[in-house]
Amino acid sequence: MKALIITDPEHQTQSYEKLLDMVLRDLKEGNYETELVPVKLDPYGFCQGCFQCWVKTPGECALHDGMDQVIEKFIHSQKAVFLSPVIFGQFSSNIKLAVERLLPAELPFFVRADDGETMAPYRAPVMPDQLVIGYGEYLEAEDVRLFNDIIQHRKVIDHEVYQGDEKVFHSHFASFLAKAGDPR
Amino acid sequence: MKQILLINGSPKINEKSTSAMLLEQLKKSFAPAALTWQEVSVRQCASPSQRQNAFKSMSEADVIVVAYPLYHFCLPGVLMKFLEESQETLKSASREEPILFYALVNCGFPEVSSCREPARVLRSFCRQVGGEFRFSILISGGPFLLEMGETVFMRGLMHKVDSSLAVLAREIESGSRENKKDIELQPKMPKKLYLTMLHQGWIQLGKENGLKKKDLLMGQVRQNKMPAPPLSS
Repeated sequence: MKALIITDPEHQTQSYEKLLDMVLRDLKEGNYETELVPVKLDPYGFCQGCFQCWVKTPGECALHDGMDQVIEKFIHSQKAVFLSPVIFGQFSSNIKLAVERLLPAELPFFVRADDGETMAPYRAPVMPDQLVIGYGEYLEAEDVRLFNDIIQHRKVIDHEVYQGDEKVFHSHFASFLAKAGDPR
Repeated sequence: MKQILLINGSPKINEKSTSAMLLEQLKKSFAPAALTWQEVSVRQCASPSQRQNAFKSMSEADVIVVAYPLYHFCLPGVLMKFLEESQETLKSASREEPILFYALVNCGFPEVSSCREPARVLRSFCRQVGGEFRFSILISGGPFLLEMGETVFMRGLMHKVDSSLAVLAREIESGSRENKKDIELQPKMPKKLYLTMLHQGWIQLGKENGLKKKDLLMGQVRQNKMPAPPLSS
């Protein structure tokens, strides 16, 4: 089984080091073959909102900067973990770059979720279970709430903000690893 | 005279953007000769010197209006990068009064609630740089406003957008703080019709590229053909 960890190389703080150590250990114990992919602006570029990956070359990004290799690894993993600094209550710009560039893996034909809200379905037949873990040294309560609200809105992705409680982390991560995989 | 800065946070480079259109509409709402303003497009701030000039303009502004879309979860990455980098300049600027911030957020979903979180991110940024966040105008159905603003489907929403931008323009001109809360606007049409129209739009764009609907639905994510740099690990 494969696990991909996407990180922001420009925010490798003490919290990050601790978090990464725990994630790697738990994945190893779960017998995952793990790959770490740091993502930052240059060599990769931000999504340009051209939507060519939806209407011109479906499933293929118009930018030729190597991010397609990351997407390839992503969709062929069973678990994908994003380690993101919490900045203004959102992903850092580098992690946001990675998230946006997954657009080719989605379809333009929006569907309504169980709660009535609209969302874009996945193009790829199978997607990895995804977990976003936010971290930061001195986070405001509102930023932690906002970070969780943003990801909660997507419904299909697990999330938590790591604030130093190892017990909570291991318990949540164990539930994530125990998930049965893409239910589609 | 007040220093006003209009920031376009759209990720688009060549395509038309709803954020740019909203800023154009806002400028039309300003009383002639009452105000002057500067404009910055985060997409055009590619070089360090362009960004530094933009951050200087931000630190000297009395009012900053940021227009941006909900883009794949929240704020576009290119705008996040711009805000992250601008922090230092804004925090170190010595000012008598805080900068007043306004957000113009649009999204392609029919529900305007999707715009609330992106507006909260700008609020958080504002708190951290010592600005004063005034209010947001949140608009769903953004792409239709751009393409079909004059049609029967969108005329009502377009009218409300214009009125709301006029409220914002009056507040900026007068310095009054009458409006106390965010303004939320969404198209008045059944979601099913909204999604049908949206999907027809994608099918039409596919057709212009020689593709059928089944091609757009292709279930494969493909690598592109250009050589790429090796991944570090």
